[in-house]
Amino acid sequence: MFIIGLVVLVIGIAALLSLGGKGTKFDTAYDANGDTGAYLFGSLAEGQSYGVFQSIWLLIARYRNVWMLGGLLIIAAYVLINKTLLYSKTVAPYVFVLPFILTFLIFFVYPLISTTIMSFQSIKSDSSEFIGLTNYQNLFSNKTFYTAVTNSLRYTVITCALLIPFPLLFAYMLDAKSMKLAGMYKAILFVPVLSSVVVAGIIFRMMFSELDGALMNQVRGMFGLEPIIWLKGEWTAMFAMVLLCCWRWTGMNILYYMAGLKSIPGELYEAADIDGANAVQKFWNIGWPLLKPTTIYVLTISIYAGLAMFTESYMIFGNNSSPKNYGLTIVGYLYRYGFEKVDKFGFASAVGLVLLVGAMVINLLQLRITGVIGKRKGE
Amino acid sequence: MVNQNMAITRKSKLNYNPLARVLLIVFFSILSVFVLIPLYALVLGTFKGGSELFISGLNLSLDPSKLHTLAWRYLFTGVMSDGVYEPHDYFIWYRNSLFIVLVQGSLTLLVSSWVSYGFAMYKFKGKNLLFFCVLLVMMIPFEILMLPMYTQINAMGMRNSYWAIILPFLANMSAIFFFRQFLTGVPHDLVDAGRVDGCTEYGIFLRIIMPILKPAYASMAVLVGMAAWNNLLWPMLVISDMKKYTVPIGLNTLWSPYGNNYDLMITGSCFAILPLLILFLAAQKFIIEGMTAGSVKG
Repeated sequence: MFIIGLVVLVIGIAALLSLGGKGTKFDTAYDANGDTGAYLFGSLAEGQSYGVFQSIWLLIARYRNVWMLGGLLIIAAYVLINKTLLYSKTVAPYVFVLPFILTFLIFFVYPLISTTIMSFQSIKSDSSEFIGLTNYQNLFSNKTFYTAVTNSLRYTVITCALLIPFPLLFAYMLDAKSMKLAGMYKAILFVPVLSSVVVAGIIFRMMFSELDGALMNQVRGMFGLEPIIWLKGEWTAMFAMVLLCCWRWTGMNILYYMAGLKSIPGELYEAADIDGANAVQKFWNIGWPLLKPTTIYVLTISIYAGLAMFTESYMIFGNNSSPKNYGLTIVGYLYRYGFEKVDKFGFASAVGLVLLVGAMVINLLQLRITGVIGKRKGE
Repeated sequence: MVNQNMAITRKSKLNYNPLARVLLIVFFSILSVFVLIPLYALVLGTFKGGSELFISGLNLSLDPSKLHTLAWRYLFTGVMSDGVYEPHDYFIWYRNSLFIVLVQGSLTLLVSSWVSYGFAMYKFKGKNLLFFCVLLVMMIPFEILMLPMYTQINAMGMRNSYWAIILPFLANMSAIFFFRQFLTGVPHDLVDAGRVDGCTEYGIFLRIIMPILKPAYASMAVLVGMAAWNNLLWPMLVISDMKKYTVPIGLNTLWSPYGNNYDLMITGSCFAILPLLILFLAAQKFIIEGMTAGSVKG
């Protein structure tokens, strides 16, 4: 019975794989009784019809998810009937970890392999051919790509430079015994975290709009300056994106630091008081060094968020195109070629892979420099 | 563990002299005002109406005679400011979002804790390699993998279904990591006691471990639920049917250069923050604990 379950599962997976990337198209064609087989066996000649096996395979391919699920269910039923398996300590950990393994294989490893293959291909809607390294050559000679990389790196550096020292300072100032209102300030600063990128984006887009009456232009007016078109300048557009990010994340990072500060024992401050240290000295000699783990954590997620930034720019500019690509990020570049342009899937795959490697290198470098990786090995 | 860290009582911390204290209060008051300005402008905007926003943009100028509730009327009744009845899909999106938050939230918690139990309580071949894979996936932003993942969803024929939104993230790496961290503080004797009493390996998880995990579930529920409520990019890629949109995708489509949907866009934005805001006011400490759960290493 276990074997039967396994076979059903494998047939389902085989049906899935035989469709390549054309699942939804195939389903639509099948349900409309259109040219379904073209996706699996190539177009039929005039007067020809599918063989018995071909018809069966078409049916299986249509209901591939049912087959895969059915296979898993049969295996599960076998385990329930054969109760000794439920007590086995050698099988159990694998059953527990199974959801992760499946997710990892289906949504990480397999897609990664297929993108790697696609990145060496030129893919049209009905055909694909190997073109070697051409996609990569095109990518590295593309000026827009470097614009996107520059924007993303610039954004990451600026947000890290703002979102680490200031929240740290604010948290340190709020974390005093004498600050009775700290709870209220903490709550107020946290409210923007609740807003989604979409809502925040809508607000900021209208605040930074080119109309004379928009908030940011009114602010300029208060200083006697002419209204400007914020989103059409290289640095003013960057300013809008960074401000949006800071508005949403300052409160969050303050909370991270306050959680870190809570774990510092009060005796250290008492000792410092006895030695006559002032607030600044206490910060440099007690707060800063003991908060290093929190800083590393915040830095890691800031770099991660900076490199992955896309929706902020997408919302501020209303879509993925911005004047002179001032708001284009690496993910936006990927999105443009993967989802907006037609027949560029191979090229987009190459973009994705290059970004993947880049992100991993930056992550590893950062963890290496801050000492996280080295420490783990020593322990 | 998280809760123990939180509970450490402090004897004496920093002390400021009165002058510094006043300065700090002034400073944080100003900062708070700046932080609240965008939200205040949003709420004010809902009472000015879309046509006014289209002409002058979002600002703080307040003219009581021009305020009206027509935009809100449109949101709730579908009657536009010029009296024409034109129904919109906002509450369908709202219902979809709620559905996804509930299903995705509960399933993610269940599956992720299930996996983390395997990592935390057993020794097995390949464990270190597999856990390295967890960290690997955690380190790579999803945005960079969206293209191959999209092809995969397409191949499975799941495009335009909620499974496409939920399934890839059921085994949520940061949740797994968090639960594992939590479970390392749980004594193995408890598990062995369950075995002696004749529990199956899975019965131990269901009857002994899940009740212990309650506080961890609560923290993660906040994180996962908020992320699901606010998620834009992935749902936008896999859902193309208007009736299946979630609130963020729907709001996003309302933007147009002609400003004809501003009424709905601005009130809808306001109404989308509302549940989170109410939740936050009701259970502030709890939410803050949940959001910072990942940063405190036990």
